[in-house]
Amino acid sequence: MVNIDKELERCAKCGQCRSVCPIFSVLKDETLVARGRLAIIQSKTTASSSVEYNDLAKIIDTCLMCRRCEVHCPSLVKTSDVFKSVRQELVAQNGLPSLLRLAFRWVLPNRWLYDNVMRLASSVMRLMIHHRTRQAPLRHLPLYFTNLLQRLPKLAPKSALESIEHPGVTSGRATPVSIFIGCAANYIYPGIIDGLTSTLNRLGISYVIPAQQVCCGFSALLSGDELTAKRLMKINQPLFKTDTIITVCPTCNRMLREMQDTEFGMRSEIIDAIEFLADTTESQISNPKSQIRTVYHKPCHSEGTKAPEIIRALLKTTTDYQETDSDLCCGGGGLFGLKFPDLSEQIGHLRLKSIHPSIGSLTIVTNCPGCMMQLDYLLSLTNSPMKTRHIMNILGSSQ
Amino acid sequence: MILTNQIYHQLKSVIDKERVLFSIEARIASSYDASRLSYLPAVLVKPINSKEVSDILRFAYLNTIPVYTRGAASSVTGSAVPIKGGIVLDLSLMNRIIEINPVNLNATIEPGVVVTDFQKEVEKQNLFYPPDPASADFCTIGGNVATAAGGLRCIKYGTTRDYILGLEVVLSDGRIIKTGRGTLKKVSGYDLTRLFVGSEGTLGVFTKIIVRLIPKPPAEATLLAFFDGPTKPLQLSLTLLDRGILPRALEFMDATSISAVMKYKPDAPIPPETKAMLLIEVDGYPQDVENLARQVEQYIQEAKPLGIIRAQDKNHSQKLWSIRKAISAALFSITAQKISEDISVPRASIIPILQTIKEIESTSGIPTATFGHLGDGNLHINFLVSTKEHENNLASALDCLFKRTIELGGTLSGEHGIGLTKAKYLPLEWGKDELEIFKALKQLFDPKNILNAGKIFG
Repeated sequence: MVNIDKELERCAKCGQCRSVCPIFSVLKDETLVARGRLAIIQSKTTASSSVEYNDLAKIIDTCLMCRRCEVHCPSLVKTSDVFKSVRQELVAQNGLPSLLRLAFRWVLPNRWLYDNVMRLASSVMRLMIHHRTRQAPLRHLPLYFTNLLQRLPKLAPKSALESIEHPGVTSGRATPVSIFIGCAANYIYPGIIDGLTSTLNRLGISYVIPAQQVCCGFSALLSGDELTAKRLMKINQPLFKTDTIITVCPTCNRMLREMQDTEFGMRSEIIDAIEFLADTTESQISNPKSQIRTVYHKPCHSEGTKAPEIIRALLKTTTDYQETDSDLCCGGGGLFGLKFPDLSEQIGHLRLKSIHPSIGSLTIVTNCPGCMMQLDYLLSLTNSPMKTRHIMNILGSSQ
Repeated sequence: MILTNQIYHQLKSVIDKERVLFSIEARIASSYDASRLSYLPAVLVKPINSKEVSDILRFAYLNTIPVYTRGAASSVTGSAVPIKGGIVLDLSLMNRIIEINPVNLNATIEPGVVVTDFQKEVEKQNLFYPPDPASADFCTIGGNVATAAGGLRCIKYGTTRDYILGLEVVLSDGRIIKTGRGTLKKVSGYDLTRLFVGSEGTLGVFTKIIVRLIPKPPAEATLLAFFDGPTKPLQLSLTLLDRGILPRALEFMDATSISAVMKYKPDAPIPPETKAMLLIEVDGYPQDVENLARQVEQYIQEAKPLGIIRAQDKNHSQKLWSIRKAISAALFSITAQKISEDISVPRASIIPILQTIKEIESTSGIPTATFGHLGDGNLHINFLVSTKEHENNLASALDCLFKRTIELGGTLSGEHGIGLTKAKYLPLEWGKDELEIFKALKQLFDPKNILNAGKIFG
């Protein structure tokens, strides 16, 4: 357990976080950057109760939890742990918003219910929204719902877990690896899992996909709902029995790794699929050079891992790859995009602008389905010819 | 005296009320800087143009309210801290690059522009803005002008002072004046520009800054050399200049800094017995750079180093620089508190001042780490304070350091400024007559003493 007071004391107030915070890049508001947030939290701990901190909840909520400030902090302040703990405190005091409470406590831990809710949502959306133009044909919807529906990505007709015919069957090498799928790959981009499994098949690596696996719990934990996060971990823990667990989402990866030391953490090695492939296969994991033009979008939660370097090198040798100016955040941040749609879009547009506005038929390759959701949404707003692909899609298409 | 909430309500009629902030959260977030000192202001305002700054200052002047101009608040001396409350004037929203003119070799920018952002923009046009303080990724040009910020390339290219051609300044009563006209040469009236540069927000508020640009040197070479002690690299740094080589960076790191970095970055390619390092960078045309780099390498070899690394490409060069740039962070990880001084001495006094630092270390018992810009004599001396005894001995250690610095012909601050933390030492460096002139100038520009009140003179 992190000692929050110690972390707060450690901040040297240098200002480095101002150079990497996606929220600050748009709003230039010191109360919404790590240095300011930490100072506010610290002062609250010693302030007399007569001082009203009316903006505190908003200040804590408007954090993407991208963790850039933490990675770049010269004083090594564990900012995300501080914010997480304050969120938990706020939830303990005020409770969760009812919709979130319903989703976290009932839907996420129940695979069957989750599947059916998503199926229902999918039909409702088909009815209400034209996916090409993203306009709601039913004009009488309250504005809030229209916005929400427009932001929700199109669901795949069949989830990844439903599409896998024999999730428990292994092939190839004797010691199999387990695949942790994650919600976005399961419901929205099941092609990522196809790409991964076909690559594993091609390389002769056996795998298992536990069919009863549930959400990693990251969103719940970050929203201050530790109870749900623990329940989900408790369900997942006994399902993953192999020595190695591979992931296709850096956020799930981070969550599972960070929880390893806790009561319900998984004890196996947890590794990003692309790192696993690069480690285990000495030979080329990909195909001969193709002509597609690519850029790489680095997910915030891949910061500090080897995945970005591996993917960049891979794209350089196998595609017509272009380096972009910077590694800005896409602004997605899971629930953040639904809570603060305007802010999320502003951050996202900065990202797209840095990729190069004049480049037409370009594929943005990334290793995070969450980033793909956000980028796909932004691209659909402008009818851009650019498209997104997960690195597993790129590998999978190379036979 | 006007009451705090009256300031708030009246300011709302001066500028858009969305940008006048009174909440406890906004006030806390404008109370500190990197000195870690903190004082709550009454109110925070975020103007977006010169006229708003002028209106705010006129209001403050009429009511005699202190005004504290704020950029990124990365100052380490308390320059940005609102020690007497009042209004914090946050210029973060005034961050437009108004013009980059490649023919006139100048640019006009607003004070809230972040230094690295500006450098990236000019480099797209093959131009170069050399000043690069270690905090360039987040500090603002306005703050750089206010503190005459230096950086790593000073030996060849000078400091911020050498790149400011003119300013638009709002005076304490709200008048807007212009100094300098964007020409490289100017002998027409007094040089007010140079007076404002380094004035730490006490004479006026900069609202537009005309900076000088130069063509970007097309190539550079970076070398990192490791030694068994400080004598050889110190001698080598003098030798290089004697032989007509003017590197653009000449950075020194002592044994304590190196051992901290080795712990902080275990993968850094530093030989284990290293007690001193020298980072040298030369730039110019590719052929010249190649010749220069070979010569430098030869001179380093003659000094019998433990090893040399020459960067193979830009990426590699960044890796070598990351060793130097990690020192500050690395020191934080080995000490509870670090007091960082930035004295500057004539180059001939570098060896004697390092001797003094050794003596101070043994008498006070406070460990020190010294690194910095050997090329220009500006050293970062860090006192690593971790015990009660260290804390008790700190004041006399600093006294001793500053006195010796002045004796050796040096100055209290090479690039951080005086702010709050060094105000009491000012009379060590300046006599009664000079201090009177300083105060008379302050009186002339800011008769009611509202601009960054309480700084420099205490």
